[in-house]
This record gives sequence, structure tokens and C-alpha cells, in this order.
Amino acid sequence: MTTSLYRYRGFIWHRATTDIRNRYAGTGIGVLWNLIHPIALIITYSLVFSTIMAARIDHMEGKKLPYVVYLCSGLFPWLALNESIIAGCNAFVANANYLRKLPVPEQVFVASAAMSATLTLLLNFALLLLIAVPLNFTPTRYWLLLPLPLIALQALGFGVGLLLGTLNVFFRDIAQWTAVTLQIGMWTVPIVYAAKILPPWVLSVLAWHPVMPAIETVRHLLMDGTLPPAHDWVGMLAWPIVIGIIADLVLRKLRAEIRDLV
Amino acid sequence: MSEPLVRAWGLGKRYKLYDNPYARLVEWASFGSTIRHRDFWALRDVALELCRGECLGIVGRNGAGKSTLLRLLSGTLRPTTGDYQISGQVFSLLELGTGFNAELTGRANVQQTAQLLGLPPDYASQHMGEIEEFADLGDFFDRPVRIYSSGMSVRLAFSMFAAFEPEVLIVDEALAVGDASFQRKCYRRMEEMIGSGRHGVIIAAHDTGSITKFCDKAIWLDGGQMRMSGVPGEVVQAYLRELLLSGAQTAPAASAPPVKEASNELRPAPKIPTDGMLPRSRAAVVYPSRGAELLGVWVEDSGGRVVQTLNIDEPGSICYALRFAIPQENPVFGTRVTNIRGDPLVVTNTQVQGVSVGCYHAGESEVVRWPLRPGLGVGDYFISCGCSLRDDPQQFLLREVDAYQFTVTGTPRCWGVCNLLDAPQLSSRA
Repeated sequence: MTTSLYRYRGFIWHRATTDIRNRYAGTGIGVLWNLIHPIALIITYSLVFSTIMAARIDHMEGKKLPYVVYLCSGLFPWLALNESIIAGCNAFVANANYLRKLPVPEQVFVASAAMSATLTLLLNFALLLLIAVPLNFTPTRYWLLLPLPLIALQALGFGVGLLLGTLNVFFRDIAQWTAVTLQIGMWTVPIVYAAKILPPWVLSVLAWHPVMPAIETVRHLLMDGTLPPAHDWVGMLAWPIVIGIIADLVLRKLRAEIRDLV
Repeated sequence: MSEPLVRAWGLGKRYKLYDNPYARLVEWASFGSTIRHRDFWALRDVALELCRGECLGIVGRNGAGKSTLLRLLSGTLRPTTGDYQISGQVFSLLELGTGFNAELTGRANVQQTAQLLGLPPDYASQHMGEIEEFADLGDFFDRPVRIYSSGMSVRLAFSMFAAFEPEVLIVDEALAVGDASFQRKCYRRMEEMIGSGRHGVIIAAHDTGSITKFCDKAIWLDGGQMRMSGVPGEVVQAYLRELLLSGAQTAPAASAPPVKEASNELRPAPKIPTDGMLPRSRAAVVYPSRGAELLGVWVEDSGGRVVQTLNIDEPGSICYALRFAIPQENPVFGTRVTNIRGDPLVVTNTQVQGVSVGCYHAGESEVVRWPLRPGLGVGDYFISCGCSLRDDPQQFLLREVDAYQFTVTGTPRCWGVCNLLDAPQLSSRA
């Protein structure tokens, strides 16, 4: 699987970048919309939570930190994951036109969907960091490690997207179920709320949540300026690998039939 | 002979047909111990070989497995049984458009397809000039494919695949969409590719003429199986014969006409050939008989022999025989010849031709023989027969429209509905 992804790297990259470029094709300011959406999100949240709801997170050493950074550091990765999974889930059906006519390896389409979500995520995160500085965050060298958890999370999104995308060819309900599940799924991870409000037993269960280690890592690196504990590293890397292997096995098993059905 | 470029053996493709997606789920959940699908074999046990510098033609009806075979060879489907080896790259011009993105321009689509085919990054750019020139799309080359006509898409697709110079080029009916001059250009290009001895071409077409003319060998697929393989001329002829016969429910046996008693006045029955009647075509529109029954329709060559196909240079006759069930005074016999597109090439009858027709007793028969000058182009033609009342030509005793089909063969020397011109004379050569 990896060799064919490498062979098609040019196409994956090209498709992901054109996807971002073309997402707002026909609009006046075009590519800039890619920035305006996250900026609007950040501004809205900071206005709402700093003035109307006045939420602050009692995060470390009693220092009050702006909630908006906490929220966005979880929300952006989650939204990108969401996009990767949903786009991956639909990738085969949406690209049936190509699959029917050209001998392209199937996973290429899932990869380009995940790649485009990743690029958006990295862009949004860079923006978040720029905004975090005036909000009393001092950049640390740990910030340089931030791409790691983000990319690991997107690798997970690729794996899940590939697995569901393969199955979705056979059972078209899966795409719908996925969308619904993801909507609920967002509240199973401390993105909007703080992990601290959860009882300890819930936290110990949450440690096995596939998304949890990466989100925790982001928060450690960004907000606390510390390295995350070892179990977060392990979880963050293990989940994408395990899911990736499963997805690869399933795809291998079903590959012959995918093109019969799309 | 050199190492074959394509070699396939025992190729088979089975589709599993499920009544609903959850039948599949049940099957999966039981780990194969319950079977909830029916097998459909789109292709079974096909073997073929193609060497460099060769062209293979595939004939067969719709649904015979041609597209399945081509898709297997081009790698977009995986065979259920058997396998194939291809030394080199295969590109196939399957169906229309070949996976173009409607929003991208022609140029961008060429780039993207090259990437999709896993070609090196600058490969498309290197060949872009050549593609642009061959496709001859003018400004449209830099406009979105969305606004292309189907002919333009095919031009782009063919130009692209030809320029990428695959070891094996697969072409299906798609080419038929292009206009004649572009088709000619495509065939010339393929001739070059074959002639260079480096490439092989596989063509599937309804247009059997191009297969006879172009291919070195042919296979005939029928119901997913290989019916015949060999010299194109023979395969095509066998295929066409079968195609004509298959429409062949012979004309419905009409109830015996009430023969008028005590008729020593009856003329002796005309001679009707016992063999070689044209089969009823699939396009036939047969109106209920109102007093005359068609006994058969056939074509004779210049020597009066009953034939299924006429040669392009040879005169012949279109004949039909009918029997009157009721007495008839001066009826009108008519006929019509249309080509495969439905253009009427000639519509005529005994009245406008000024042929005098006599009276018939019930039970008497007549053979109407229409001499046919050479001039029809190569292709398939439909014959309609009719017999109507003299006073009201719209009152048909017998009417069968596009009911019988025959073929004109030979080397085409023109396009158009028919050939009125002979070879030109040149003053310098006089």
C-alpha cells in the first residue's frame, strides 16, 4: 500500500492542493476564504467566551488562559479528522468515474482527501499560533513538535477513511452512519469542555479513545509547554498503525469487488 | 515470432449478484457458510495473444463481454479466474471521456490523467504540443471539458493516449463518436503504431468493416465465451451470419388462406427459393396482414443466386413473394430500402414505376423482383415490403417496415448514403 502511495505522491499532492485552491473557485477573493473561515471561527469563539460567557480555563498553576486557544487547539484537529474520515468514506463512490476507467490504486483517492484536510489543518494551526502569541502565550521550542500529533491524527483519519470507504462501496449506509457517529463523537473527547471536569474513571477509559492521545499531546505542547507523558506518544502512534493495517487487510480482501460495484 | 505483448489464459469474470446489500452482510457474517448470491459470469475462459505490431479485433453483441474483457486487460477489473501478462503499459480508451474531470481544462485533464496513470511528472508536459496538435481542438483545449461535445472528448482522449505511446492501446466503440475525418486520422495513427512494430492494438467495435480491414486476427465473444478466433474476415462473417439469423423467428405461420374453390383459372405458383430467405430483422415493424401474406424476402445476385450479402460492385435484386388471401384487382406493390441510420435510400412502388399489375384470385401468389443497381455503400440495409389498394395507397393489405436485413460488403470507396460516382478521370492521365 505504501509503495503505491509513494508512486502516486505527485497526484495526491496535486489533487490536495487543487482541491484547496478550487474549493472557493468562482468567488472574488478565492483562496483567501481558506483563511477567513478559521479567523471568523476564532473571533466568534473568543468574543462569545471572553465577554458573554466569560469562560476561562483554570489550566496550570492557577494561571487563567484564554479559553479560545484551548478550544481551537482541540477543535481544529477534530474538524480536520472529521473531514478526512467523511471524505475518505465517500472517496471510492465519488471517484467512481476514475476507478471504472483507469487502473489507479484505490487508496490514492482516500490519501488525497486526507492530504487536503491536513493542509487546511496545518494552515489553521499556524493561524492559531499567530493569534495565541498576543493572548499571553510565549512560543516555546515544543511548538515545533506540534505538527507531529496533528499528522498522526490525520494518519488515523486516513486509516479510518480507507476502512469505511471500502465498506461503504458495499453498504452505502455507512457514509450516513459515519456522519452521525462523528457528530456525537466530538463530545466524547474533551474539546469543548475541560478534561478536568470528568470523573477519574471516565478519564481512564478515555485513555483508550483513538483521538485522545493526539489531542492531549497538542494541549501539552501548546498550552503547558511540556512534553506529553509516554502513554500519549504510544497511543498517538499505535492507533494509526493498527487501524492502517486493518484497513489495508480489508482493502486487499475486497479490492477485486470494489470496482465491480462502484 | 517475438515474445507476445499480451497473453491471457482462462480469463473469467464473475459478478456476484445480491438481491440487496444486506444479503452480502449475512454472507460475510456466516463466513461463507450461507450463500445468498447468484453468480453471473460475464466472461468465461477467454484466451488471447497479441504480439508487437499486431492488431486484435473483438466482435460480439452488446453484453457479450467485450467491455468486460477490455476492462480486465486494462487493469480496472480483476479477473475471477485465469490471468494475463502484459509486457509494458496498457492504456485504454474505454467509453467516453475516459475519466476526465469536467471542471478542468483539456490541458489540465491531460496532466491529471498522466498522473493518474502513474507516469513521470513531466511526461505530460513533454507530449503536450503533440497532443494539442493532434486533438485539433483550437481554443477549446484550454477550456473546461464540461463544455466539450462528446466528439471533442474523444478527440482529446485519443490524442492523449496515442501520444503517451503505450505498448498496448485498447480502443472500444468510443471512436465511433468522432467525425469521419478524425476517425480516419485515428486509424492512420494506429496504423503507424502497429507498423512501427513496437505497439499492439486491441479494437472492439460494432463496425465490423474496420475490424476486417484493420486487424490481423479477431475473436468473437458470445455470451461471455469465445465463440471463434482466427482470421478477421472469417470471424466477422461468421458473426454477421449469426447476427442475421438470430432475429430469425421465421415469419409467423399465418393460418392457411381460404383458397377459392374450383379454380382452374389459378395461375401456376411462381417459383420461390426454398432456402436463403432473409431473416426477420430485430427492427421490424410488422402490421397485421389484411388480405395478403408475405411468403419470404430474399436477395439475388447478378446471376440470380440467392445470397445473404451483396458485393458492392455487383448488381442484384431485392425480391419478395406474397400470396393473396382474398381476390385483388390491380394492387400496388411497394418497397423501401433504408440504411442502418434509418435514412430512406429509395421508396418506390409499382404505381409510380408505371408497372401494370393484374388481378389475383384468392390463393394466388406473386413474386416481385426489384432490380438493384450497384451503388449502395458497405453496410447493413433494411428492406420494407408492402402491398396496398390501387385506389387508396394507404390501405395496406400487407405492410412490413424495416423487416428484413441484408448486408453489402466490399472495400468502401466513399462515405455518404450511397455511391453515385465512379472513379474520377483526370485530364492529365487521359
